[in-house]
Amino acid sequence: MVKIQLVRVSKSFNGNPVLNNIRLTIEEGEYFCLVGPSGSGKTTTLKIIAGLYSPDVGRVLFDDKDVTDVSSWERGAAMMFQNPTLFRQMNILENVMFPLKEKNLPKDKSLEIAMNLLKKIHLEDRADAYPDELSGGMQQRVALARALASGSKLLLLDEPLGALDARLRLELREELRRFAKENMLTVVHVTQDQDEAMAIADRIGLLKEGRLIQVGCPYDIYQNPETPFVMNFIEGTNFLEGYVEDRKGDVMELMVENVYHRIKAYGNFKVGNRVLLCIRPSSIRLHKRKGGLLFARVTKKNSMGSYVVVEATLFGPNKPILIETSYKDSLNYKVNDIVSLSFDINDMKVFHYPLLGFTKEVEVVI
Amino acid sequence: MKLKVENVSKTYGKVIALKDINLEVKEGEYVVIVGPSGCGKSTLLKVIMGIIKQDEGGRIFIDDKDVSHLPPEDRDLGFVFQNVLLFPHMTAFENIAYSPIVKDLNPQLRSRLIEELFLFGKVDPWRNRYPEQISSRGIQQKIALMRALATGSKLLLLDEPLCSLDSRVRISLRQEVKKIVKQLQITAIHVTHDQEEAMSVADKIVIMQKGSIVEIGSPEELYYRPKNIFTAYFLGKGNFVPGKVVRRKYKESAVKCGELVFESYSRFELGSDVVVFFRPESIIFEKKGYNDFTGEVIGKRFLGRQIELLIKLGETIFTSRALRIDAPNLDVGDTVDFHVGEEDILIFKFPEGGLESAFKLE
Amino acid sequence: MVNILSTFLHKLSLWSKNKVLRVLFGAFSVFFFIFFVIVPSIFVVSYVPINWLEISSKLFTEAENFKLAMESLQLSVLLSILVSLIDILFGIPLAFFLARSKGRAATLMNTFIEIPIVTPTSALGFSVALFWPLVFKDDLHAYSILVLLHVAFTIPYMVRSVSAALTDFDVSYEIASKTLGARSFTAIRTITLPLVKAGILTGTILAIARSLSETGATSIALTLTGALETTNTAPTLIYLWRLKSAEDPTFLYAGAFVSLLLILISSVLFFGVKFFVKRFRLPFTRVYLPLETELSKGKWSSAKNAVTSLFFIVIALIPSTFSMLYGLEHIGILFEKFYLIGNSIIFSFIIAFIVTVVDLVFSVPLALFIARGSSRFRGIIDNLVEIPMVFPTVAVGISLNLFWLNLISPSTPFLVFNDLVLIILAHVAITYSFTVRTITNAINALDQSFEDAAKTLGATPFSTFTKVIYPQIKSSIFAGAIFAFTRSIDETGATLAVAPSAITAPVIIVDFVKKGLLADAGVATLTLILISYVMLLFIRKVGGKHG
Repeated sequence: MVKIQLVRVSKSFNGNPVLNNIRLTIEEGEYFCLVGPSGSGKTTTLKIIAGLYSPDVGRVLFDDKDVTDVSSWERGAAMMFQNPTLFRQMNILENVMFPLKEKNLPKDKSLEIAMNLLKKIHLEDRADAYPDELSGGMQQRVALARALASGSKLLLLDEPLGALDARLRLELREELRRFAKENMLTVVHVTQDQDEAMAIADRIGLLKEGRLIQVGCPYDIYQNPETPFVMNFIEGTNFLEGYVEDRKGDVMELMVENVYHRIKAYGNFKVGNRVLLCIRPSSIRLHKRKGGLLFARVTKKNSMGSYVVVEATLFGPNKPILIETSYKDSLNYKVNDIVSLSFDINDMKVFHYPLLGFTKEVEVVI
Repeated sequence: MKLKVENVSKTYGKVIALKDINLEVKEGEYVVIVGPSGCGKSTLLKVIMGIIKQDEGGRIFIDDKDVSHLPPEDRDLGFVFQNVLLFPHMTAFENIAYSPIVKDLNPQLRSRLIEELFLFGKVDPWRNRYPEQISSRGIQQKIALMRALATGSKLLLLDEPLCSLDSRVRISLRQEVKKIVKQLQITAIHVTHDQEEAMSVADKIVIMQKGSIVEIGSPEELYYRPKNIFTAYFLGKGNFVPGKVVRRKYKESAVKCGELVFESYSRFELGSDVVVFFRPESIIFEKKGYNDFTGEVIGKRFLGRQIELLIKLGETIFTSRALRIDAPNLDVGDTVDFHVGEEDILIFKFPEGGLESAFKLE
Repeated sequence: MVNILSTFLHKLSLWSKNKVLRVLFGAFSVFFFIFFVIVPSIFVVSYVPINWLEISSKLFTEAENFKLAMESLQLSVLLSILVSLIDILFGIPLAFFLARSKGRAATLMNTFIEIPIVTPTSALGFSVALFWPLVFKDDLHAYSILVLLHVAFTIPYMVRSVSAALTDFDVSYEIASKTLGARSFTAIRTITLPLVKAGILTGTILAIARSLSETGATSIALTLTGALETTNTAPTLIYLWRLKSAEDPTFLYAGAFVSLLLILISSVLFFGVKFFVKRFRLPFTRVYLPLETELSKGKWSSAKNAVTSLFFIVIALIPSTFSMLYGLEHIGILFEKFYLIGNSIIFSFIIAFIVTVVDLVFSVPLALFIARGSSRFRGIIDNLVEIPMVFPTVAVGISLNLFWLNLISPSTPFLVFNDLVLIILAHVAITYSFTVRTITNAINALDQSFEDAAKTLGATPFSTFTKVIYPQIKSSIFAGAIFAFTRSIDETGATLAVAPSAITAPVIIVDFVKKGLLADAGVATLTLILISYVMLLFIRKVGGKHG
């Protein structure tokens, strides 16, 4: 297990800044997921940790030792990619033996270690198969075994499941985490799929345009997002504009676009501040006409399987609002029904209205 | 436009890519064909388009007209490719204008149609850019969609259109595509490997596996009342517990799985080897008098909108999911009572070759 | 023995970890490139201005010389442009036939295309120059023969370049256009052709380069038609003056002048062609539906295939191989002249072998430097590599000759180096850029994540090269080697420029023709062609193994 530290790391390519002052500590044995939209710098960060790129500014430390100037073949940070990168001219046993041979281990020892690793991934009876004969998922498992063979206690994964089918990904991501924990590895797993990160990470780091915006465990990032972008990226969010009408202690009363009732929320903003109210669809409860604070008319119901998305037009701002509820609950409401909405004050997050405007802050460039 | 696929097969030497496909798509329907890689879904779409020729005996009917032997340029369909395939040597405008020019449309009609599409798709800012100057793949694909719509066709085929996009982008773009298609009253057939995508936009879902159609139905139907065990597995997480039928009275039966007994509706004979299936959301944390169980919480996961609990009972581990705001206040180590309603349980015949082989995804 | 090898490889692996050693390795290959390829090739650019007094006196005092020089350049340029236009007209449709059709006719034509390429150009020149006068009963102007000759040996390059571009072309674009309603003919003219422009450009540049460069065959053709005194292309004029310089060294100055102009003109021509083809866009505002639908029909496609194939067979194939019959007629001579002909062929093979080895040994490091290096000079070197590729070989020969002369003994105008060494240096200068380009392109096409993964698994730079890069580019290295080898066997102009008295296989044919020994020339041609074909088959077999 290895502890990683990135100290004030910055990197530019051809004058374009890609990473800006990254400060990050990843603990021993942690399964850390680095998430963010395409182009946010996730792969660059990983390659700097691996030693494939050198930072323009800053240092990389492994277990408190500075490895910034150590070449990648001496760092012991095995990296895996979306492409399994198994060497086509070698069978899978030879592939797994590759790092052992580079360390000049005697042949019989390498063979023994490699076969044991193949046993761990249940592919020992296909030892003489060539990579092209195996499925994508199997190839990635071999790549894992090969990485482990290098003796590396640190595993860097660059969208390792990106080339696989969605349903397969659900199964394999669990396997990845299990494998890492069983073999006591520190893992840095890059993905642009926030659901994947939420499901398997001990901690998540969110990158946007080269900056590390927030780091925390899934629960923390979800419940205490520091910006509207973080909140929306982790799980799609409803946004309402308003301003602070009154405040008593840290309970504010907010006036929201034409909504009759004032909405209570926690926060320390000044009276008169323009704010952005954020509430997740999964935090809203549906009621028949009575029981909620806001009213809306149902426009669409969309079954996602384990939950249903109800789209409704919010009275007042006349904007669409999304609500997620269980299948059984959704059966109580039909299109065109008028419903009332309620939610816990703790689930409502309030932010300063973004200086650069809503779109620039929240939306991921499509 | 409506579509009918009749007895379509396609073999490549020894490999059976499509086996006896029969499918009907009604006018205005948004149909999603979903299945693991290699199941034949893209092949089917290309056969419908005429890019791949089906084996002898297969027929394709578009609005009751037999197009089985017509080349793609004569079938009057629109196609959106997985790899976008915008013509690199033409600007966005020229790409979209391609079909009307090639079909020799009246120039006035042509310019009106193109302008409408630019507005509709909100891609005007990129009008004069070349594909390599458009860094966002999402925008590129939208332009490709407009280009396909410019054919004026009322039947649109989409081959894994959102494949290489970020998940956030995929989520918003898939809704946009559906909205555009519905507004223009076009029939659409959308192929994907992503079951969540299918659930999100489909009027009707077609599940494919190994070259055949496994099942067809609406998202709810297939998720809660699948008729095929592969459908049940493919569309999302579920609890699958093998057992034997030990009691049978009219429609009601009891299935014994190790030490556990589940009561439900089924038509299987006494003694049959079956699999008890129910979704993680069906687990309710109270006793109801039947199908009541007590187990130990051995895992808890915070997934954001949902909380997942792993509950161990004997040799079986059950997965439970509840919306975060409804989730019970339980932790690892707690003992918990739970219940599964008989209307939430489905019984399947135990598959030949075992569960693992029936669920094979690659 | 094996132990010594593996210890050595292990040492290499360890050394590769050292950054200083790696930098030296790169610098070494760059130095070789600059000093042995670039500088000798462009030496004439500085030579001419420096020695302008002597040069201008040679050109302008003997009245004819300047006029001869200008006329020859004019002929070369016009000839190459005309020939490339003919190549485009017939070559592109033929390339479509070969790349798209899977039938027996197409497979047969595919083999036929190779034949003029494999035939050494001197042999081809002899063959063509013999054939046409027989057909037209000697009533042909020298210019016509030149055009027919140059088309014969350039059109296969056009066809191959466009054919390769078509094979690489992602046919999905064409399919996309059909889903949008385009008929076959429309799809090809609006989508495919514009997207294979790069291939058409390569083919055109190759055709022009070959035409401007060609010395041996052109010389033979002009000799046979008796026009050598009055008509000259720039290369043949350079050759003529090079020969005269053995007795009158001042002709070297005149030769240098024409070489410089030829190099400058070819550079301008290529730049112009590149610029023009890149900007060239057929306007696409309307489609003539009835006409294009008609042209899309199968029968027109078959007609095009037949016409272009026939053109190729009549203009290129038959004339190229005709001399084999002639040679067979006089086969008896082979026994007389066995030593002479045999020696020249062995000489050519030895040279080619050494040239290939030198090329490979120095191209791989330079290719790695360009494709994977971290130096800021990568871009400059990458561009420099392009330059020698378009220089006419005879001019390169002259330039190189002058360079080494000046380097060793600036005062004596005599050869100091051994003939063999000079020829090897000249051939390396001509072929090096191509092997570097081939290998660089192959490395650039690789998915770098394989190398990245290997490095993070502990592989040293040397290991990464041998276990990851090399297996993937093996076939390109092989292709580069084949190219260098066959090019060297074939080369006449540069050989004549650096060592006019050396007898390589192509040169012996030129020699025989000059002496009027047509039968001998015929036999030598036949032998050379046969050996080349056997080599081609052998290469195909070995190449198949390497993939």
